[in-house]
Amino acid sequence: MKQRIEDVLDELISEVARGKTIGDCMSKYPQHEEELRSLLELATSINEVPKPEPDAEAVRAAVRRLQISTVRPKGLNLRGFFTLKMLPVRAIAAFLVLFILEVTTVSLSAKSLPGHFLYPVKRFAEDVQHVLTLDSEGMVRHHVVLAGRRTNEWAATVEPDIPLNCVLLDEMLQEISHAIGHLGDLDAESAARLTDLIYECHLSQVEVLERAKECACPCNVEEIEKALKHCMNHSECLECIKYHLESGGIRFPSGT
Amino acid sequence: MDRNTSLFIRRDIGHAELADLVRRAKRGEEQALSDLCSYVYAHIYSYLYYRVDRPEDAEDLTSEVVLKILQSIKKQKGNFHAWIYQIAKNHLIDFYRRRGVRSEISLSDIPEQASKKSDGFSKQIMTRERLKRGLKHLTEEQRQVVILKFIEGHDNREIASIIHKSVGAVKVLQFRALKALRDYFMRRGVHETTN
Repeated sequence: MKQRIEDVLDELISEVARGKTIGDCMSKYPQHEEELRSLLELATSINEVPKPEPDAEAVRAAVRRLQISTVRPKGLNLRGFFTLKMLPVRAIAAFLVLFILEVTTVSLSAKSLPGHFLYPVKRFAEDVQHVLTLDSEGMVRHHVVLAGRRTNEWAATVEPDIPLNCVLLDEMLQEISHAIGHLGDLDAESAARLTDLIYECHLSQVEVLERAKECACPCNVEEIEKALKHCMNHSECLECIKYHLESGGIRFPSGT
Repeated sequence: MDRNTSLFIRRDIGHAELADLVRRAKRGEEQALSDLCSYVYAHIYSYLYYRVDRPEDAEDLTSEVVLKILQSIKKQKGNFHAWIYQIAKNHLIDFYRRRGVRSEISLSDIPEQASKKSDGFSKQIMTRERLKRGLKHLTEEQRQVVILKFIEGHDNREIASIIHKSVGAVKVLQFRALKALRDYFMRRGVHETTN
């Protein structure tokens, strides 16, 4: 196979580097002498050019600068924090930080009212709690707690000259309805205990509505009366459940 | 005289010693960092010397590049020389970008040392300035190959890894670079001697 001229040149450069003369090298490839001799001479002359030597003081200055920069304390490097090295420890630390942040935010948001920037956090935490509640008794208790919270929130938003927050009003009544609905999945003893709990919350709703009606402007009275009528239904329903439970523990249909 | 025993002989430390130096520098050993600093400085300086017009620019750029290299030594992976020259090359690109236009030496402005004869390079005097002017007539890759092989003393495999080409491509670039330089110097030599 014919050797490429580029390979021949490279081979001859290596031979000259090992100490062979250009004349000796060319005798091996006389057919390339015309082309390659001048290139080998040029390569030799380039190699003979004195190497550019840096100023010794410049090198010392670079070393000094390097020493200063390595001694200087580094700031917090978050990029380095998430490297694979010591990943489990860092993952746990990151989890703890997030957990603390989450707990702090949720507890700060607990007293927030509609319109506050933390209120969505509060509602989101409630939704999460709802998803995580699997048993019926827990579900009843959860809805009672939510009914109490919505009632307090609604009471705080009532002002004589401002239209009522009807969404909140509806939600506070709905929570009682949901709680009653879950009673059907419980045994008689638990149902009786939780009916009292719901009743207590229901009474506080009625009390709040009555107080609001006293100081409400005429435009809001109609909505409050509608809500009170809804409460009357709750009352009747709870009375009925109580009666059935006391007279033999008969199970009632879900969503009564 | 054809014989030149110093041709292409590496002046610097061996591969094993360099690898050990890099390992210790990564651990933060002060002495290793200082030694590596001197070693890298010499290499980067001669690499940049032929690629900028003024030696002072080469010195300033080298200081910046060396500091950058040693500050990020812990992240170094793969071929050490390929890594340091890549950093130097990127820094050089930034340097020219900052300056806006790449400056070229005007061949008519700077008087060149006259050749004694134009019939052979062994009888001509090759100076750093002449070589620098000649290198400006090569392509970027050809220039890199000439600097890395004949000035820096790297072998073909190492050059291939530095410029991300095959060894065969390095040989082709070397041939074309030398041919282009020869033609340039022959033209200049003939022109000057006839004057």
